[in-house]
Amino acid sequence: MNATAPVELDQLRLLGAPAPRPETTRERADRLRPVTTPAPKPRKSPVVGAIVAVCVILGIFAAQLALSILVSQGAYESRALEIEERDLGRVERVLSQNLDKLASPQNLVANAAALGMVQNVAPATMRLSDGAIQGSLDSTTREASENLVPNAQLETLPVLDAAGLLTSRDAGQAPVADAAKAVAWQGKLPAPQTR
Amino acid sequence: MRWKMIRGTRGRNLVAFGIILVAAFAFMVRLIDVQMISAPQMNEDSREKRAVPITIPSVRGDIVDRNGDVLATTDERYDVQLSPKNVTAKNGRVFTRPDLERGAGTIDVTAEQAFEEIGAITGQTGAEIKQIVDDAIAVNKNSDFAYVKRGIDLSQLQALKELRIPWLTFDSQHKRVYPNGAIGGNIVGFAGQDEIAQAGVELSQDECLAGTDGAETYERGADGVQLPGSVVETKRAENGGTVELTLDRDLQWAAQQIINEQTQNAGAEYGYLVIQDVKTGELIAVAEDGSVDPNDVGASDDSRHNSRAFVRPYEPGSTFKVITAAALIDQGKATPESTVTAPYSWQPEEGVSFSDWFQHGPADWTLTGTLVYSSNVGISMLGGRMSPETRYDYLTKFGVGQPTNAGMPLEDAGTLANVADWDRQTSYVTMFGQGLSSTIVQTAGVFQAIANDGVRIPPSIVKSCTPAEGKAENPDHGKPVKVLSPEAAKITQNMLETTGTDGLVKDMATIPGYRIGGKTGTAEQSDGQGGYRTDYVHSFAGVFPMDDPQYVIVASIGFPHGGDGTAAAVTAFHDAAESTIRKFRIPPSEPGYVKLPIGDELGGAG
Repeated sequence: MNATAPVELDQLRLLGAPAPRPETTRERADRLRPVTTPAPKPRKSPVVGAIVAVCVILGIFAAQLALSILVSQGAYESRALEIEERDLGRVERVLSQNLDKLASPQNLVANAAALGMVQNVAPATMRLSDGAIQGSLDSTTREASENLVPNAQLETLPVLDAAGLLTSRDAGQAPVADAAKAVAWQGKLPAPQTR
Repeated sequence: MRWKMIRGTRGRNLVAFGIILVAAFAFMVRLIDVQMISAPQMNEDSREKRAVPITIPSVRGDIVDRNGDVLATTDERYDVQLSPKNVTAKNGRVFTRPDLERGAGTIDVTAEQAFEEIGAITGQTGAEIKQIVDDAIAVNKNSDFAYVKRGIDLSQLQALKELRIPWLTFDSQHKRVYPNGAIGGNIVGFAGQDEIAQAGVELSQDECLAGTDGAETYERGADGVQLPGSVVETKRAENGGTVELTLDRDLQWAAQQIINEQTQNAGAEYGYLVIQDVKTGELIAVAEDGSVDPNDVGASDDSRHNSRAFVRPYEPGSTFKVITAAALIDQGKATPESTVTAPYSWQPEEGVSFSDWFQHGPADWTLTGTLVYSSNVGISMLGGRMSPETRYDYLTKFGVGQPTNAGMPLEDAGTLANVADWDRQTSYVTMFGQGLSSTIVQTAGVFQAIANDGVRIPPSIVKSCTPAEGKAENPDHGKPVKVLSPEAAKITQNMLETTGTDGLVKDMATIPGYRIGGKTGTAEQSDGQGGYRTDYVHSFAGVFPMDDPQYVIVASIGFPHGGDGTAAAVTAFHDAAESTIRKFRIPPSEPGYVKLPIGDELGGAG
């Protein structure tokens, strides 16, 4: 700010007052007269202005900082979500591929054979137009043959045993019973209840 | 006066204005410099410091069967890397990680402990991993990169991440997996490291399957976090397309199961089995013994890596007598009842002689009879009514010696010498499928043409390629060829049915309730030195159901030394036909079979 203040010089006082004009006797409506200057407003203190200005600037800074924090917070969040999305995508991929592996005929035949399922060699069909049965209704069945088509993808997947429980694929052999530890059965052998 | 002016109010204002002007000018010059003149250079410098280029890998497309079951797909595997210089930094080789058991504080972990922990997950020993670090340091003291293990799976990756080892990093890679293993392995083929296609449809359809990698850059802050809004995609990744095959996964498995079993039973060198759709020419199953499991290529012999059904032609033998018979009918040179008197052995002209496969006196056989008893002499006597050129013409129209363009990367078109180059012997033996060779797929094509009322539709294995974005494209396998008149084809079908239903192998071939037709073949094979081997390739080519032929099944058993090859081939046909009936729920045939006269019945001939 400029530190100098304008100095108002009073010309009249410096140069001496001119001779007063003779008073006119008549008041005329169109006579010029000096405008009365309005009373000068009381000056506001510059401190208030300065405080307001500083506050505005600080406010702007604060808003910018907050905005920046929000944006970077959003960036962190979106990155975390992206990683989560990627990880979930990976899990989904593994699961769907496991499904494909489990649906492979090699897996199905191994499990079907373990459960003792058999194949209907020649299924009969019914013609819808006249309800006639084509083929024999008591056709022969065939046991599922052992799988002869390898699939290395199945090595890590479990397989069903005869009881329908999941077991490890390579644990084909039944656990060897320890004869010494076996307890001899006392009394009559229980007979299965068959009907 | 000047001094006074400067000291005055105006002067001060002027000075202040001047200073501001100079400063503004300086700023403007700098701004122009920064924004326009040195901008490219500065962008370059800053990019080097903060911008990170990354490749967006494209995903190779799937290979699926006719029902959309996945035969080949892309899996994500992970590479475990470490930074040797960071392992050995701080001589103590100690890092800290949060103590998860206590829930608070940290624990110190030595590098040796970390090696053991990593090894327990990756299946290595701690010493092996230490060796990796020491080797890398020995080469370069500031080594920042070494692989611990490549291609681990997701559960291993998650376990390793939980170790929170600061110098352990991970990268992902794509790997081809084949969820159905060796089912169609001969056709699907395989892609090795970095997904480089090596065989089968993977190779022939590589253009469709392979995607285009994309690229993008982002800028990162000092902590490695991506700066918001700084991602620039420089190139879009385009994933590969999906290839649909004509194979049916379940039937393909059944066919492989059957041919493996029969090849073992007969103690044969090889066995092939093909199922083809009569109406479309699509190959539903192309099975070979011991097909490669694309997941584990090393486990099978090199000779099993390509589809032998396409690359190993052999002399088909008597199955091709049907071509001669069909040509005779089509030419009007014979009817199924045309009869010849065939001796056991025949010498039609000087230097040419051949005989039948079993001893018999002169027999009066119809054309159908020569097929039923598979008489080389009989069919040659009748076939001689046509010129060699005519017969050559029919062989060519039936697709012998022609590539199939089914969609495989490698293919052998078989051998059919030009008729001008036929010697006298060749001119006769080609009438019963010797002196020429064809792949099993070509043989299937012959019977497809007969079953499809004389129109041969080129066999196909690749149905379509569907790009990641866009419409499916169907590859061109060739135009249908009209080989026979529909009437001649129908008559040939009837002869085939008589041969299959009342021929020598009827007990093995019969399927109760279904009308089948078919012809055996027992062919001598070249030993590669101008002579013939002493063992045979046994085939059976069949069509069913004969009231409205829908499927052709051809089985070949090569050089059996432990059993009856013909029985194995016919059983393979029979079992494959039963599987096809079950798979496609084919209702039993309408009755209407009429046995054609065959002439002299030689009951004990078989």
